[in-house]
Amino acid sequence: MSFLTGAFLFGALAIAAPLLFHLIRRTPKAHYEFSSLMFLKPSPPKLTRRSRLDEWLLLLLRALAILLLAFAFMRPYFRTQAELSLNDAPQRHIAILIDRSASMRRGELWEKAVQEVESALDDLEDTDEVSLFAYDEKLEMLLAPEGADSVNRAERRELVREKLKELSPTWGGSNLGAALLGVAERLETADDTRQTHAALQILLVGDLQSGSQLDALQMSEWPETVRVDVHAVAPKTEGNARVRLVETSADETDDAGPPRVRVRNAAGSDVEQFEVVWSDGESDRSRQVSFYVPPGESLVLEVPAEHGAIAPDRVLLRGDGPGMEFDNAFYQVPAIQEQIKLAYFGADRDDDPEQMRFYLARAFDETPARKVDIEAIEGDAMPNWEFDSEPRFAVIAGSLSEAQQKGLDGYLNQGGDALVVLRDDQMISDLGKWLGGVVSTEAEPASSKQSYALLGSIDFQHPLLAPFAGARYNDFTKIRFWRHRRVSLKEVDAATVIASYTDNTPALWSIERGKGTLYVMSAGWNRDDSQLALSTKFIPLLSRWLELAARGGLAAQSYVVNQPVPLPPAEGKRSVKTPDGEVQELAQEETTFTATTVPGIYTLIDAGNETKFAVNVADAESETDPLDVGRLEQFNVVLGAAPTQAAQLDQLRQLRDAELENRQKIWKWLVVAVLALLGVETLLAARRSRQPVQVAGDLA
Amino acid sequence: MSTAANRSTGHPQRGAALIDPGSLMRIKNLELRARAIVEGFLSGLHRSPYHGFSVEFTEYRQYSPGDDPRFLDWKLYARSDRYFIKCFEDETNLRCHLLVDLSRSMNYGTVGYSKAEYAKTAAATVAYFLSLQRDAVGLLTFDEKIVDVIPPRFRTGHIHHLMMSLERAPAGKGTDIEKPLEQIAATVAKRGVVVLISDLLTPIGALKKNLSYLRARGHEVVILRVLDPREVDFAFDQPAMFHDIESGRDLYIDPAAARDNYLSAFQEHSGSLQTICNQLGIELHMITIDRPLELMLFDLLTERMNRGANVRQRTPAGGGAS
Repeated sequence: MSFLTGAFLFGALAIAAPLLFHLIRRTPKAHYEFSSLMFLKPSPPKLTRRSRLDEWLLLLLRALAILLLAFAFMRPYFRTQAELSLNDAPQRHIAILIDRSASMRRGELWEKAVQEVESALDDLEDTDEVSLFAYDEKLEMLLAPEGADSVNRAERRELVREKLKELSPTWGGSNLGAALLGVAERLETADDTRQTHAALQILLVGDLQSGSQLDALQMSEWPETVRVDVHAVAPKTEGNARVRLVETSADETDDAGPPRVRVRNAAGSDVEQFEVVWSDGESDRSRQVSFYVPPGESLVLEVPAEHGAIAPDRVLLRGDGPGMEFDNAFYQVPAIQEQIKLAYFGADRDDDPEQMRFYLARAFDETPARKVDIEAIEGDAMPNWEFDSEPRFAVIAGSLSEAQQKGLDGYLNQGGDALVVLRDDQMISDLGKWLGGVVSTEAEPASSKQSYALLGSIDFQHPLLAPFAGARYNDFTKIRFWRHRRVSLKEVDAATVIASYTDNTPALWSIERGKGTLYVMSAGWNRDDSQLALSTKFIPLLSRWLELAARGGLAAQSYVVNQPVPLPPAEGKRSVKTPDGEVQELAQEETTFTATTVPGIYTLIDAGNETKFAVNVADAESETDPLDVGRLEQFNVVLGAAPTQAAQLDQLRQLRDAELENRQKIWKWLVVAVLALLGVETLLAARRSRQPVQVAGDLA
Repeated sequence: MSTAANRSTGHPQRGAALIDPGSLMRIKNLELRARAIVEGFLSGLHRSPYHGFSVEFTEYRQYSPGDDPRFLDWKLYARSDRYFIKCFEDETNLRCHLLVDLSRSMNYGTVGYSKAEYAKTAAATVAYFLSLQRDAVGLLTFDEKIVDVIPPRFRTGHIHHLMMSLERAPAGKGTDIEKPLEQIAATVAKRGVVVLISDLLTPIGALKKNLSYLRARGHEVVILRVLDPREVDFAFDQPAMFHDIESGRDLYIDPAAARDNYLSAFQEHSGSLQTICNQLGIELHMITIDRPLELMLFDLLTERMNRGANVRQRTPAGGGAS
């Protein structure tokens, strides 16, 4: 016989109550005061016949009733089915996910994380299955959940330990959201394939710093069957400071002041005093600038660099807490101003705001990185562009002479880019043929200013407009075209229409000419034609043309760790020199360089030309305040450890027992027995109380 | 041998009904209480002038054959038509010390008032009675130490002062009867009468020593032993926790089992006390507090009379008269 609620056995102790009451009754109630007890001796109460148990049968009946009642409350039942075995409860599958982003380099965090994983491994049940994942920006599967069947469980655990020994933190950021989702998916898939219906659990070990990216969790729904057990590790000191170079804004370019540096101190830091210095990797290249930054705040100060034979390429932060040095260097390619030449074919004057050149000249203000010179070409002559003085980009805003057309053909064939702005029908008729057969579709120019045209369809896939693809930037409806040329491109071979007006006539298209690209617009940015020059798209669009035209160089000079660097078309044999001096050969067809695993200055060597680019630790990695785990719950992530197999088995057993007991209901019979006993007891008690009083006299 | 006092006060209750102590105790003012008792007592004395019990209680005594007729009081003879012998003592006025025990055990009482209350009333009564006879009365109250001392005097207001002191005497703590007796023995040079009012629920040994001192100093000692009826008969009916007022001790006692032992121990104690008093020539009056106070006074005076007679028998012609 088994019991559902054994604790009620203590209720049987209630049979002590009648005895207890009996004894209590025997202690004297009376209290007397007396002048002096000098003539008295204590006379302890004697056990007379009155204090003995007289009605032992009644007492026995009452005790039996209490006992039976306690027994009924224990809900007894008979086990009829076989005992449950471990196989009846689903086993657990635990995926260990360890953070190895750059922030795990702090202090003794990594050792702590490894210890945490090892102690978790020790605590596992024998039936638990284990797999191992590590993440920074990418998720890496070190021991797949799928192979769990093939290898013995104990061996798998040893395998996890071995893999763990080989692991070390990287310099990458932490994309926690994607990592969690990735592991959850793998777990579910493995479980589906094997049909095991295991309790799935992710054991997340890491510093869970607030800079962890969780966006991925927002994108997709968290699978309910997977629980996440968070084991966060924390360093001894919470503080961490980082240094960044402040980019000079466009309107400050005129006064080329010393570079400005921002130092940010984490909240809860116990260090406030820092020094910042420029360095070339070997020695300091500037005087130290002291920063006093209270915890949780940031400060910008100028740190002048001393230019010498070797330009300083990194800003170093000193004074950060011990073990927090991972983000204390910021790399920057030494600033060399790029000289860009731009050719302008047209008779516009520089100072006439009605004309296009006026806006073009002002769009390319000088910055520390770039200086754009506009070479205006008037008349019919074609300048003799040598290899060095060849412009990066040509803007054609007027009809071209034969010589010019020929010269530009050569320029385009060698890889130059040019933009033709069809400002009037005359230009169409003059250049139509050169442009591959562009013809005007209307006899009269659309001169009515009452109506305007808007861009109807825009190809954001085209490299030119790709930067505008984001939702925040792709609104072109504010650019009104008062006048535009209606042209037909039927005759033009391989013209790629990038944008067209709402009346479906092309607004902007490109034609590949040799190695170069020829862009054509059917309206200009002069005030008569459109509002383009006044829109926010104008300068980015022009800059994009320049970027696309700079084929030999990199699109940018600053990247973060693990960010792929888009490579320009190969001129010959290419290689990249990493910060640790290693040279990696690149294959001819490769378009990106992905091995940006370490922060520092990289050098792309392409046919003898060296282009440097800097790789830094991601900003978010420096946000080392602990993440509120509750944020995971906001994404419906189920937190907490999955119950062990033993616990699940217990629960199952409890349920089954409750069901059995519910079916048998022995307690009802016991209650009936109690009632019967109480009936007998009442009768007996009534009989006894009717007996003559003389018994009491005898007792006294 | 009979004396005038003896004869006249033989049945004091005949003239006036005795006052119930319970209702007497309801009179708040101690002086009024004492007056009520004494005047009630005196009204029952019939023909006897109250100064019949004069100084030393033996100033006058009835003439008996063989007495020196020189000491006959002719004036009194003229008034009362009886012969009285005027006894001249060396002290014309009595000096009486009233020693009142106010210890904790005296707070016990089962008849509606405590032994202490009774003792105070008794002391007040004796003091008032003596003051009427122009005797000097002093007071000393004590518990485990001496609380209040008023030297014996006779002057206007003294008795009132004494009553006030008795009235405000607080209920005491422990009992140490040794110290007060020692002090009296040490400080009171002139011989007098010492009236000790106490329950004497103390060990006999120390009591004997101190009473001996007093007697050795020539004091005459009278003990009024005040007891509650329950202390005498131990008439409790059921087992109970007994709380000792004096020591704070609790004892479980079944009276049915303990009564015999108690009574024998109590009587043994009383017997020893009586033996000591007999040896030292001390008057011992055992009074239960339900006994009317007039009777207490009557007992006291009767005893004095008898005693005076006895003394005179031993020392004829007025003892110390010279």
